[in-house]
Amino acid sequence: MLLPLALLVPLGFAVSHIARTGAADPGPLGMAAIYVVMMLAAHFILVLAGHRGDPLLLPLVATIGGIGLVMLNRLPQGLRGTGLFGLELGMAETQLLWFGIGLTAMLAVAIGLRDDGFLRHYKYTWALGGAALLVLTFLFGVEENGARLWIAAGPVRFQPGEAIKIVLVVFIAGYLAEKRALLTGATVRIGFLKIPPVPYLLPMIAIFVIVMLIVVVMRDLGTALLFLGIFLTMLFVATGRRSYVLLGILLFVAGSSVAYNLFDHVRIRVNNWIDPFADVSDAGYQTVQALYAFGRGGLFGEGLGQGLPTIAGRLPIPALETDFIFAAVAEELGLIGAFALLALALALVFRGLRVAMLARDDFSAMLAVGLTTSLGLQTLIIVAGNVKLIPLTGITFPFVSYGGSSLLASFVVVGLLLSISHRSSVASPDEARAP
Amino acid sequence: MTGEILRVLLLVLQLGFVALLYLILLGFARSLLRDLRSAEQAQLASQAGLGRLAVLESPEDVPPVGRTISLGPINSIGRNVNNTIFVEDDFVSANHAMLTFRGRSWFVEDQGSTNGTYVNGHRIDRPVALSYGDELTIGRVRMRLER
Amino acid sequence: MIATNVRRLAIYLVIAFAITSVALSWWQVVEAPALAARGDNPQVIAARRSALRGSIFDARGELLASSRVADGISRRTYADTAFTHVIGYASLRFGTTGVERAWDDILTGRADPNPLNDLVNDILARQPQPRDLTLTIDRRLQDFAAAQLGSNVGAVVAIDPSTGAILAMTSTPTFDATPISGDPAAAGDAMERISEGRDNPLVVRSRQGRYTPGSIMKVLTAAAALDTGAITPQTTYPDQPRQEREGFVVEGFRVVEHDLGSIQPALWPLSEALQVSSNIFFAHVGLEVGGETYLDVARRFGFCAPLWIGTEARGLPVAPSFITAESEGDCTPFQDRAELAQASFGQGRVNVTPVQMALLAATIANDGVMPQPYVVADVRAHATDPGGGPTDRIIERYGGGGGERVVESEAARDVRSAMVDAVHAQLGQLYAGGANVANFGVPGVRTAGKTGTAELGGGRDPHSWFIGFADAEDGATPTIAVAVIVESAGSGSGRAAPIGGAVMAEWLRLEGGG
Repeated sequence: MLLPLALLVPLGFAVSHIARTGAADPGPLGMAAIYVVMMLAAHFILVLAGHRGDPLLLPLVATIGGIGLVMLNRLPQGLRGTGLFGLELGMAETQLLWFGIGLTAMLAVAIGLRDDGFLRHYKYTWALGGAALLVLTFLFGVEENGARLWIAAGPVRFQPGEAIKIVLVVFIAGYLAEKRALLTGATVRIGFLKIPPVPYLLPMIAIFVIVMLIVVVMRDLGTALLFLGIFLTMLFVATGRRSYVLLGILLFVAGSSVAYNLFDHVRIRVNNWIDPFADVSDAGYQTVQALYAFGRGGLFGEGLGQGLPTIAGRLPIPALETDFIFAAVAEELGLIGAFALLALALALVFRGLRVAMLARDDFSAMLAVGLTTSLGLQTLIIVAGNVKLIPLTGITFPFVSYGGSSLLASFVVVGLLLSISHRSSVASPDEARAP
Repeated sequence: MTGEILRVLLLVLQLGFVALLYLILLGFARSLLRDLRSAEQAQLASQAGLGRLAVLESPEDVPPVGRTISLGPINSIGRNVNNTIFVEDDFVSANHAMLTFRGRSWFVEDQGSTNGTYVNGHRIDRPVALSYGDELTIGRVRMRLER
Repeated sequence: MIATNVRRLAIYLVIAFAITSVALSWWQVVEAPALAARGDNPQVIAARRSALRGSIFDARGELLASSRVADGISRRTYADTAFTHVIGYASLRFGTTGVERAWDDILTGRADPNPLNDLVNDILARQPQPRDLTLTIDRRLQDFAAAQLGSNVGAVVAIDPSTGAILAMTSTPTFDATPISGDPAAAGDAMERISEGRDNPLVVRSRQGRYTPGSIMKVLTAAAALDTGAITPQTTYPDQPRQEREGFVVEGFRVVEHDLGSIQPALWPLSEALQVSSNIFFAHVGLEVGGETYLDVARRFGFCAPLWIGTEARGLPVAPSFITAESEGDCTPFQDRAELAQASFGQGRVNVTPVQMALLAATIANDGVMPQPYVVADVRAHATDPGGGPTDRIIERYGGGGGERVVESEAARDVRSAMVDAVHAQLGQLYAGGANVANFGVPGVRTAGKTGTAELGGGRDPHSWFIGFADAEDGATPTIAVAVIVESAGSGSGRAAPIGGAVMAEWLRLEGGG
């Protein structure tokens, strides 16, 4: 299994090079080599540390990330970049750097996190921390493309939304694990809906309010949708009550209708979703160009390195390297390539859910569910937005889109999953019934 | 290399990339399916019991630290040897607590013990539902409820 | 139990991913062709902007249209304005017309005449290979015809009767299409100037111009009557001489003869009637044929439906010619005998295109078999240096086959004979004598022809028409059939006939190695 994995990224780099330059040589493979070495090293470190966690998580991440890196390498490198210690790093190089940082963080969490007590017991501290981050972003956030997503601290820019996501999952996992029986127990009926008893409703309503605040303040519809999705999913897994989820969706729809009527930017997004061709040159431009990209890709794709016609020197789709990276993959690798990527993402989700199923206690299980859902829903939301199934939102494709914050957070998520999975595998020495 | 041959080579490589991708994907799929089957079996096996108690602290070593005790639907805990779970500790009453599985959850009820039954450090005065991961303290013995 | 719920969650997620995959397939496979056809698709725009386009040559390999890519834009240069209405233009701003339009995919290389090649190109994603075209038109004849029209408004269409190859097809006034086929930014002003030109230079008169034909229609009437047996070359109408003076009343409408000048009305059979262009005679003939039969024959000649130079799948469209009013793309039946009488000599609601009339002449010349006209002779591999002439690699050759029999051979021969008389015989000379190719330096050749002076009413000057063919000698095979129209130029003999004769003479001379 290891051989195809190791070949994938270098092959992708070589193909892009041949397609771009028309030369018969594979081109510079340094970055590809570094990537493969990094992943192999991480794998061996885990083995050496006696890690007994899920063995497929890292390879899946490596494959998905590899596709992303090949794609980012194929795009013009000048789009993004950083300067580090006097070195100018292009887009793929920066992403590679963040892969390294992310892998390190993942290993630290996977191996270093032996006891999850501090996660489990201090849930309200976590909640407060998350809220504080949110406020910070609101107060000091840098606005970009109409959304306030970034905090700049000196030379570093990061997206607190990613950190808040993890904090939120930890909090909800702790809360639900503890209150699970209560939430499943006594309920109030309104019609056919079962509503949990009022005191236990409060944290949930608090969540709902936070979500809608995010929409208003940060104009980050994607993150709002993601948080809501994660919360409702975790609620469902904890209680098994579909009616809670339905109630949540109803409230969301109601809130959205209000938002649609009150806020211009919401209205623009929704109208654009319904008919992007109505305003091709302005509001609908991104969506329409993405659809053209999908059409150009067809079944087999235009060929790695051969798609993406430039219009007057610019790439056809704005934010191609972040929000629309999936469209780029679909255009060059076709339906078969895009489908493979989706299948891999789904496989990663399955492995995460498996970790949840095998977890030894409720908190770990809930945490695993929440973390997996964050990856899975994020992927779903951005892909569905690309193909116009739902309105477009500005979130990233985990492990594929360019972005240090996103990459780092995703690796931390995987690290946590590995940690949970490791502790589940450490089997108890004996089992016996008392006399 | 003429343009025509290069074009064909490029096409072959491009197809090769996607083929490789699918090879990897199928490899994962196979592992996934294999695991799915064995995971289900493991699940069923571990749910042949409704839960277990993992012994975390036990000064008298009865039950020994590190042991996991399989639970039935109704378990009595106490110093009397006739209990389902026999605990040797001076601070444990003869019939100390009852651990029962009702409906969908575990419940623990104190049987009027001298020193009380503690769940996650809080003394209980009425039957309380337990979640997996909760810690039960009987006397000086601390145990954790697990699947 | 959490485990159960997790399993349920897994199923929901699979469903969500499946729905997303379906949406993805929708755009990548189902809607893909529709997306690719949209004009604002950047791939289409980019490809068209800088697409190299094949060159177009005349029948002898002279360069007529070529492209070069400068500053990322493909610019087209046209060498001869006489060809503007045939070749059309390929403008990034204004689209394509004419041959540029009909052969657009082959010129740009987006499609290959060979479907297997097409498939291979698609799979290998080969760069589109432009192809060159060779026309059937000889530049020398085309330029000559345009020069003959000069500053007049009109058209000349010349066809080879046996093969259907277009020998000349020019429409005046014309314009230079080069300024609108280069940089799209400058094209707007250039087009404005062109469209403001006198007498509408953008109109393709040869194919799209619809005119009252006048007396040239009598050729059709004669052919229909002879073919159906309504008349013979000896048929006469006893009342005709009297009616020449008094007029011929048909259902309340009086058919009046045109001014015969010094000619005395007499009992005329077909040949004389055609020579003199007697409205009265042909009114009788038309009535004898009958409305329904007349339209049937006309349809066989191509009237009442669009024509194609080439094929409908790939060709230049020619506007339909009508005998009566149009309804749902076809000719309505004659309202009454008066309308039929008028149509028989080309007045009333008849309106025709020059191409249609050239085809009529060609059919008579070709023994009653109507050839299938075509203007592109072959498709060749692209010559990288167009100035050096076309390559030798012919990829596909067109034309020259088929042709439908429209009227019996005997009928055609009789009409042909009458048309020769119309030019050479004593009476005919007075009208169509100007078309005799002997006047233009080609002696010993018989010319067949018919003039037309199409009355427009309202005090406007009539159109001047001529149709004919040569060499019309008994036993000879005519090699050129022409139709000439000069708008509002007066009598047919005055303007159109000499032009027709000159063009035919020029062709005969060129053919003979002149």
